[in-house]
Amino acid sequence: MRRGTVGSWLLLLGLLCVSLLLSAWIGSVHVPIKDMAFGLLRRLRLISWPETPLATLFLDLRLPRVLLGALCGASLSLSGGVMQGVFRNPLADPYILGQASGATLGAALCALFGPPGSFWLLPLCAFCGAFLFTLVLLVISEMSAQLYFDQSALILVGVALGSLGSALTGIALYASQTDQANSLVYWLFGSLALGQWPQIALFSACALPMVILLVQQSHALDLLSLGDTMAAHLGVSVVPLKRRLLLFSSVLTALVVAFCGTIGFVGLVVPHMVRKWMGPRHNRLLPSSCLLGAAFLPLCDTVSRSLLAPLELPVGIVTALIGVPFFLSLLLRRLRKVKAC
Amino acid sequence: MLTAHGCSFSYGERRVFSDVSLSLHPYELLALIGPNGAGKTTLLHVLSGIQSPQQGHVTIQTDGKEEELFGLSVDERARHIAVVEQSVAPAFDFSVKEMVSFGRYPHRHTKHDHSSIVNESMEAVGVSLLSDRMLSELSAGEKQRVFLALALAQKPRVLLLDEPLSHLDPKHQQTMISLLQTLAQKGLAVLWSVHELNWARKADRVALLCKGGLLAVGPPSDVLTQAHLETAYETKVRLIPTEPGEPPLILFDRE
Repeated sequence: MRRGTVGSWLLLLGLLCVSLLLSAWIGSVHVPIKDMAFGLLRRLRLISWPETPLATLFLDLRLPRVLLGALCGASLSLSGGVMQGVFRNPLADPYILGQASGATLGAALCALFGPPGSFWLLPLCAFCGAFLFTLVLLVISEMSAQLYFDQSALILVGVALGSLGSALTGIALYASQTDQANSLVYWLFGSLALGQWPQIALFSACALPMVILLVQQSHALDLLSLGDTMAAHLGVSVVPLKRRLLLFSSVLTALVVAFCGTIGFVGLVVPHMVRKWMGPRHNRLLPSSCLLGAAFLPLCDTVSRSLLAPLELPVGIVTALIGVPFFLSLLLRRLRKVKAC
Repeated sequence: MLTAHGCSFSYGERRVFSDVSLSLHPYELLALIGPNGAGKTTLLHVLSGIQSPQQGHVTIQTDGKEEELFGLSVDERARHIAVVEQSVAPAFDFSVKEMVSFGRYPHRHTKHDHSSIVNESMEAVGVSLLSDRMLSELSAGEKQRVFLALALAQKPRVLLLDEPLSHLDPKHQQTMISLLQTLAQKGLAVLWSVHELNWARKADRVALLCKGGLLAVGPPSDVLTQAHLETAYETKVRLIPTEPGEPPLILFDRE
């Protein structure tokens, strides 16, 4: 079976283009394609054209939201692919080390104690919370380098941190006013509503170095999937590599959670689908996960905006509704394979 | 070429072996034998450089000079020494060619023709026809040969194998031994750990590891004696003479 053919890449790019176009076009307000196209060309200063209110709605609200969805979908899928490689487990996801709980705690504390109306403070606090939890995990790992070799122990530390974060968040929510708690709930389930051009610029500037640094480790990640001992025999410095991978993918995940809340299952489902199609080599898996994730999340967001229109579901609910059956079927297939052996 | 000098290793309080000195030479097939728990795998890992002995040191000849093995970078070590582990369970299903190409990782910054070397390595162990097959579709014997091809793709000077015969039927065991003898004849220093003592008779030298040390090292006929084997395995041994000049067949008697 030929994997990673030119046709596969073209198909992925095509899926991405179709997804972005559909997601930009579909919404509670119908924006004619002419307004979309001319508005975009005008903003790029390629034509002069009087911008219509519908074009402004498309350019300032819908398009940034779609692009944020693409960037977050790509980031979560990349991070998920890396985590699956580090933990040698196709059921690992980007939140496995408890970053989501840390981000939620940071956001909850901001909602509780922060000045109201500050647009940047919530994502900043969420990012700090997620990053702090990542640092705690890495410090614990450095105290015993053996932890890097013990996948189960590393996951358990992540679970413990996640539980701690959830417990502290629960206290914060319990102690908060109703309107403070309400402002958090929507964010907790994941939302792309913060999608505006300054956010996209900041997200891209912070995420791009992480993406490059992670994709550069593709070859070493392949060897890691043979086991730590084999990777060491083949010239991989296992502990420094894992340290880098965990740090960079955690920062990427923290960025996504900071801007969009906890959007589950994208980082689990997308790399897994891609692996079946493009093969497990990470030099194909990681970039193609980015492309498919960038196509997947905006489509989910379109469903979340349209399913109960004019009400809007948090996008994390839609990804969970799609992801849970997929995850269960994965698990059942894996259990059947183990039983057959 | 690769020499352990007075190496001792412990896991916590448990001493695995003490004061082990052993050298591997090019054009040599050395069989490492010993009972379960003697430390064969640990000694292999110390010789490969992924585990550091608590006492003693390991040296390797590189470009005519002797260097400390643990002073080399991980890439440099992997360019000199290749290891075939007893069992490798990749987390994902790679093709045979992808697996063998992983052996080129230590040489990734060089301008060698990696593709040719991968093809040559597959050819050397007879898995070229399997190159597009997935690893999960192969038999245990075929997989073992793929891992050997991966090791050969590293273009090592030293090849260490941890019980390469354990999952193989007698026919494939014979094929693997012939392959190792051929590799040694081509100039590699080959060390392989083995449980089946009658295969150890095929080696140029045998090292018997037991009771925390090397009990004997030398030609098979000097090491595979009744006294040595009964001391190491703590069971009655019977030696059956074979051809003149050949080491005897070894049978373990019931008590």
